[in-house]
Amino acid sequence: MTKALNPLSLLTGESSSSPRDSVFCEPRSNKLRASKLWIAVHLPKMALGSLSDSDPHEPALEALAGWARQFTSSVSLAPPQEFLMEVNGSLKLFGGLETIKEALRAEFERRQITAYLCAAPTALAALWLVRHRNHDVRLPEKLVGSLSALPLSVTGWPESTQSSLQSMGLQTIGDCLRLPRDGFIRRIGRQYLLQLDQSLGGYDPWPEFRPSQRLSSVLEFPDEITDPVALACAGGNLIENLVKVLRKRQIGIESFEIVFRHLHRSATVEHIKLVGLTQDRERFLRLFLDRLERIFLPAPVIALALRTGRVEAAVEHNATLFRDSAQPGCEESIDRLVERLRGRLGATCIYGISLVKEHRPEAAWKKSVDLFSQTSPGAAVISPWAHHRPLWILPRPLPLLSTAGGFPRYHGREPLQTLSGPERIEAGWWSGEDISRDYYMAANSKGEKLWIYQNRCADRNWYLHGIFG
Amino acid sequence: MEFLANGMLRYAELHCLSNFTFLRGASHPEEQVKRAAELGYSGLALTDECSLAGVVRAHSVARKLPLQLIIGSEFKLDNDLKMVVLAADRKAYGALTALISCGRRAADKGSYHLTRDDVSRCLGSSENLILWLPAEDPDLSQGAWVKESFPDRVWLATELLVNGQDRHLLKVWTKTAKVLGIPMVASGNVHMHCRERRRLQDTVTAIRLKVPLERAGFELYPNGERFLRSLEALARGYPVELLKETLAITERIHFSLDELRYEYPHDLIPVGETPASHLRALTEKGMRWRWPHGAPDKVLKLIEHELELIAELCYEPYFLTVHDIVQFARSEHILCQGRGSAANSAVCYCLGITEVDPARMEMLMERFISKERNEPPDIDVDFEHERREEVIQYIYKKYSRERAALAATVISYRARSAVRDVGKALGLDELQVNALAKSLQWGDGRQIGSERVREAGLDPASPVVHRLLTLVSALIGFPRHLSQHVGGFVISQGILSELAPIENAAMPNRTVIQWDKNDLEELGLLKVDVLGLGILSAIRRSFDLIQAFYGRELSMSNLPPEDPAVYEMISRADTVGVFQIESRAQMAMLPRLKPKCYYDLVIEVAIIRPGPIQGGMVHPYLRRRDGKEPVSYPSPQVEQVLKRTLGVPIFQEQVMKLAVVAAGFTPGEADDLRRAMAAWRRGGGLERFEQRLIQGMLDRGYTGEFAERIFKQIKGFGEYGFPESHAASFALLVYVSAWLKCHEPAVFFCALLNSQPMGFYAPAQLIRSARKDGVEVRPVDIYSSDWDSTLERNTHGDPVLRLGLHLVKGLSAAGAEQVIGARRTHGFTNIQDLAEQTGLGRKDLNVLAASGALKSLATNRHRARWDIAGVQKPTPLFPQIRIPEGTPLLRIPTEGQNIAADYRHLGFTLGRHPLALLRTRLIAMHIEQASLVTELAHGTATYVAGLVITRQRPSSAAGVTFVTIEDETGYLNLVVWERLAKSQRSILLGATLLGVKGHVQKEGEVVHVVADRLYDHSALLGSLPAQSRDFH
Repeated sequence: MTKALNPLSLLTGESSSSPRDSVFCEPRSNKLRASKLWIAVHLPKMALGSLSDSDPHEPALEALAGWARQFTSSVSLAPPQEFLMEVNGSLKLFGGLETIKEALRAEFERRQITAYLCAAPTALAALWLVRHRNHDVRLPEKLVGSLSALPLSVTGWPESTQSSLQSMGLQTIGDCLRLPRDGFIRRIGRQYLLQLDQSLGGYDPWPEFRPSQRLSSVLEFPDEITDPVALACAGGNLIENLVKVLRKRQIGIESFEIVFRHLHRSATVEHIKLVGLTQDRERFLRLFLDRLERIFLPAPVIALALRTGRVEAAVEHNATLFRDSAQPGCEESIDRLVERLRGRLGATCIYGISLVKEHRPEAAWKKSVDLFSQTSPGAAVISPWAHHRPLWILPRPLPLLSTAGGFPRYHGREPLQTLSGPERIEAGWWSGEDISRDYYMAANSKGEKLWIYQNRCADRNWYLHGIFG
Repeated sequence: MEFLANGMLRYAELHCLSNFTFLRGASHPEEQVKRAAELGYSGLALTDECSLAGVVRAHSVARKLPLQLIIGSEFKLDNDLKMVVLAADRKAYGALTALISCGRRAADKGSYHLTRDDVSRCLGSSENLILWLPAEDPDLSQGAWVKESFPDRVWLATELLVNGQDRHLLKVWTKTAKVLGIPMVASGNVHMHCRERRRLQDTVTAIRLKVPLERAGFELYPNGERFLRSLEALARGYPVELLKETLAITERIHFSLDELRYEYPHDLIPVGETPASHLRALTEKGMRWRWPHGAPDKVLKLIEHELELIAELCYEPYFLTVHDIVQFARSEHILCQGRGSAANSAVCYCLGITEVDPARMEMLMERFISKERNEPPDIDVDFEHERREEVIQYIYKKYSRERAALAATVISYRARSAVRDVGKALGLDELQVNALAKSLQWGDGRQIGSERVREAGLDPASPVVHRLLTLVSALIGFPRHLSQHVGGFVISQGILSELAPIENAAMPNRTVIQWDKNDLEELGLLKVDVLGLGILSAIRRSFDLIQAFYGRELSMSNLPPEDPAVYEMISRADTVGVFQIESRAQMAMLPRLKPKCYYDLVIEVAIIRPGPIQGGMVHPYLRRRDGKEPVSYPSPQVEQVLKRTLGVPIFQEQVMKLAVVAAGFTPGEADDLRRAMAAWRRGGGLERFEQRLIQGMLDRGYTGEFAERIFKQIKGFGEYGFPESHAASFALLVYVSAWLKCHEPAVFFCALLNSQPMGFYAPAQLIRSARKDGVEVRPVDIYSSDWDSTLERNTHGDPVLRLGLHLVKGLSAAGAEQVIGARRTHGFTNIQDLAEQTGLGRKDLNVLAASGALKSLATNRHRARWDIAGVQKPTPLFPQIRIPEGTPLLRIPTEGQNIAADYRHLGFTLGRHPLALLRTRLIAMHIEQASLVTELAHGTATYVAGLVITRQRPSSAAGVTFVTIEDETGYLNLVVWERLAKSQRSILLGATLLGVKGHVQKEGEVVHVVADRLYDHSALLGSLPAQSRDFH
């Protein structure tokens, strides 16, 4: 160790037996068919899922890859962060690599994302280079040199493999390329050698990316319109056309969007979810009209667009069967009713009731989204301590007047007659509503059975909290 | 009302849980007792669920109050039958503890399991009174069983808790009682001493169920009525006869814990001997062993005197018990030493319990044992820490589990655990709660500062956080579970489970009694502390190594005493690895104190303790020692007490003695004072002594200033005062370990390395220190290293330290064994060969390579890893696999990489210090070397940086954090004041390479850098992992 002062200096000492044995075989790279040029596109993690004005359910990577198919049919996904496009055949058509890259960059900018590009003669090389933010490498003979300098982290190999390589002092792809092939296979694995070969031009098939299909159509108006009837009419036409296509291709959809475009303003987008895969015109229309009634449009509409979610092969129902099936399934029709009521009144306005294990009477039940919530069988939801609870609890306890002697009155001059009690309830302090009350069952002169309590702290006032049926 | 006697209602609560029914009860037993007395109850039964863990605490309070404390316990049997069992007399008490022990021993730690048969068997016909706790809808068959099993001793407990059903329940239960023909009695199912504990009771319930309060639902009680209600309230809620019946029950109870009589085991006394004659025989035998040519007259007199004292107090069986344990250790070649009040006696020296030669020491046993105080003798015996378990199992075997058990330690809620549990119960964000809990290290005490709360991202003003903090401060100090005491054994003549309940500890093969050491002391029960001490392991190993290397037989008793070279080394503070005096604070003290003899070491051990430091004893002592201040005594009596420490009280015994001679305390009162001193920090209570002490001293003609100073010193001592009796034993170990370091450093450090983990320093500092002492240290090597570190011989025949395979992090002991085994018969030609010969797994091979141990088989670490990756498993057909392959072109590891690998896989390096590699860059940053800093003048500004070795925040140092850093030239001690520590907390606690701008503080030879600003330079180290040892 001569240059011990600098811990990072590289000292090469051991000699290789023969360069022919090393991972990197010169003759192989000559075989490279110089007929390909790959662009790798790398999206930083932040950008994933934040693409504007596209289907929120479509992953950003796929959206961008789908868009890129305009330059070449050979687009492949390398999830989670990259996709690849082979553009050699398109260079002439689009006016060279730079033009395509320019177009891509412009699109990134439009979508307000940062993404990185790099071109190389092999797909893997392009990927590895772009991960290191490298420049393009267009000539196959430059590939070895450029790849060699890359740190091993660009390969995305498993952590254990990488740390094992590091423990042997291997830091770059070049370090690996210098190793004997047989030794490398035995220690690291054949698949990693294969990748090194592929990066230098070995056979490397990538499955082509086919974006999932969606349908969309637009109706542009000659002038800005505000009339809901005209909008309804236009929507009807769009739906009519959509259903025709769906029927013809025997496909269905589970969701669609109505986009109201305005001048000088971002569009109003309404997303409508359906219960199950369908091609039913009536349902589309009904839901559209319901929504149209409720919607607030900030500006006149210049165009109306309809975009479907993913299309899928529909189960083959014929018209009559479809209609019959709605009748026997009563629950299904209630579901539809709820679908429509929620559509009209808002999702929170329709609720069910479920019981809560709580000592405080007012907290012993709650609203639930599930209308027919079934509490698990056998679970005690009524307090084991409580023996008498009225079915009807007032939304808010009603203060009672009391007689001169401090006894409560209700509807009359006579004090109420307590029948049982007190039942002391002290709970709820953890949510900031500490109650401390003595509950009684009481009767008034009319024979009504009431559930009343006296506050134990503060005012010591009497309240009516419920009425027994 | 007719049951008013002299205008007073009378009632005894017979069903009351304390917080020793963990996470159910919400008040301390002391609180329950005090409150019951305040309310005018005539009795209170503490009936924790299958436990008596809280009764002694209750007893010590009830003793002084007009309240009958009844001992009992609540049980829930496997068939859901619930009952309370109350002990009416001593025999019934024994049956109750047996029942608890039976239930606890039958289940895992923290739970119990009991059947009806267990209850019938254990309680039998003993005078235990039973309260049957029926359900709302009573099971008559249960009632019938109880009635049949305990005729005339059973009541139906009527607990009316305002749940709206009181009238109905009373009706149902009355009917049941009538049908079964058993009387009814009122009880309260008390869980807390006052109504205000309701929130805490809800909270502990949620903690117990491991759900947030919001989801605890009906598991919470509907109201907070389970508290000690006023007599008026009880009179309103219960029929008179039921309340009166409580008194009928208490009248049948005649038992107090004071009746427990402890009997020493008699096993060790041969037939025909009395304890006294046997002890005398053993002592005389020991005397002949210690002084083959006859003991000096002085010693003979001393022994005679001590034996008389022991006989008078009937302590012989205790000495015999300790002697037996020590004898066992000796026969097993386990090094041990006793310490404590009785240990440093001539008798103990003869019995081999201690090595402190009474002829060399001016020790009077009465200084440690006093007739008047009547406290049990206290002998702690330290054993080699790695072999203590053998001693423990011996005791269990010798006396059986029925008669020996470890004392318990009550693990209580501290700020951190309380924040975690309460936070969870309140449903707070787990990350924030954890952040707050984590920030509470280094014992933030009971109050949680609002800045901590804010740091954790919580708003101190919000109601939820307010709730959290209120509940946390109430929960702190609550017992959480019982753990085992480190080594306090209770051994009895009779069956122990009839004295106190015994339960399983978390560790297999361990049983503990439900009382802790304070409880035992309160009841005057005797325990022997069997403790583990790392330095004893190291000393024994040193002696073994010396025997093997030189053939010289050394032991604690024949080591050359009072060697000036040893004291000279100690005075230089060259004491890394030396017992007790190796810490930063001790090292700073040594050059000032300059110990010259054994007794100086006794003082040194005791003086660097929080007690003397806070009491302000250190500086006066040093000034007097240096002759800068005259040594004077206010009276001859005081002179007698303080002469040996130049008029400055340093030992706990001196403080107590002062209270006697200067303030007129009786020895018994002085003992109360000692207890109050121990408890002062937890709950105050020293005030009542203040007046008496000061007045007592004034009355005896001492000046007010002297009296105030003594009281301040007593307060400062608190629980941290160190007894001379312990210091004397420790000082001997200090001397022995210092002697070994001074004369046989290779042996000493080898033994220390093999005894890790122990002591103040990690192997890195020990190895560094060994090299500084001139020891040649050879690296871990596959050919030469054993599992332990060993001694080799160099060309001059001197010992050389060879590091052992145990230092390789992650290497399995089995793997190391395979290597050592295979090495005996074959050599290894290369790594493939090594793998084949040893059958080592790849993981073991890899850590060996990474630690540099394979250097003789592969040129460097990288090559070794390449070779290991290529190792092929031999198959039966091809036992020897040789695959020809090309030589790889691998980079040679750089020095930096090697050092980083050393640190990662060994924790130290034999190469250069990592900072040596960075020095050029550090110089560019104007960072100075540690060795240069020591030469700077006091007050000079400086900028230093080093690896953090230790961080310490002693409670005695008023919020100061001491940090030791290390660079290639040595150590440097930093002082970080509390304000800086707070503002730069994350750097202080997180940095591996810490940079410090500050100024030099010099006091004699002691140099500190007082930090003004901290910097985290860890990034400069790259991947170098260095670990600090943190103490608090």
